[in-house]
Amino acid sequence: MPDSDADTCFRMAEHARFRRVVDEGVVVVQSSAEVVVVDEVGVSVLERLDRPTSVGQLIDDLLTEYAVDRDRLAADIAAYLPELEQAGVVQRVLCEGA
Amino acid sequence: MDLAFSPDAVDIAGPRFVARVALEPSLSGVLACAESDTALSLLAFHNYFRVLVAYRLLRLGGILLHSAGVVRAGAAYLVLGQSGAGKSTFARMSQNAGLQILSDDLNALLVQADGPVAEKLPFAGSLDRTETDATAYPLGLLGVVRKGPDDRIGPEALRTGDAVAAIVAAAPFVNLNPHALGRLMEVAEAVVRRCAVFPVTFNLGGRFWESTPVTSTAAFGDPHHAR
Repeated sequence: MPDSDADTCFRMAEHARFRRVVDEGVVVVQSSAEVVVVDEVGVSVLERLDRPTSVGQLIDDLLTEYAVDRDRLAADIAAYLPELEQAGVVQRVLCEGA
Repeated sequence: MDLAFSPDAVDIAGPRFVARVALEPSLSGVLACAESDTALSLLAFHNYFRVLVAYRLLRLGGILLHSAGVVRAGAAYLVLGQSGAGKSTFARMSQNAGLQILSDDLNALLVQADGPVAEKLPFAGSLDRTETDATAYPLGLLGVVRKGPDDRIGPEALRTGDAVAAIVAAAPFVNLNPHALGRLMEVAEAVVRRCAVFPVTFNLGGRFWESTPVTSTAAFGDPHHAR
């Protein structure tokens, strides 16, 4: 487990498989046999988490796609990632080089 | 029954039997039973054969689906649902209404050039083996059991992602295989492109079919109905 938030990255969970379907995403969490559907924003997030990505990097990347206030986006992401983690879709990992 | 997956095979362990479904270079399999008891061997074969059929269908661009399959006016109505969702209740209610039943547990859905087709398989749930006039029917409706007080189909089709998710969730044996999941999602998306998926609610009054119009995929399965 990473020692601090600065060392924390997120990535798709090892047992989750993701596929974009039109403007939504379908994630099969094989460890729990659950199927999760995410909206377009969720697709944008998950497509960036195919490798370990810090929250800051994720926000920077999303800001290139969405014209939103950074603080609001950061708050939304701070709430959204734990939801995805709880559902087994993403997992915390140590950032590369940390 | 336990399944272990590798890129080339699925290994199966069940009560008094082991089996392997080899996926490469071609689909093949072997079953070994520890009993000479015919009933136990048949049970083992049934368990093994379901897995084999699931992978065979996927290879053909089809899916083995946990579903109740009902025949009405020459078309198949497949209603998806996990164990306990109401598939057998739906099938029994349909049987009481005079309709033929493909299976109340597992049915095959194949996407063919002229449209999706539901095919009868020798897998029954709580309803015993049922008789039908044919073994394959054009798909009239693909639905998902939802709890509700009314007898109705729809009114809105599921969103595309939800429809794909419902199909993947109802595809046993392959939906837990990380090596098969990409293909399964590809086929599920192909199904949804050809056929919208509708929520189906029914009550136990047994009048569902009286209030449901005869449909075809042209009426209910038009992909433009899918949002």
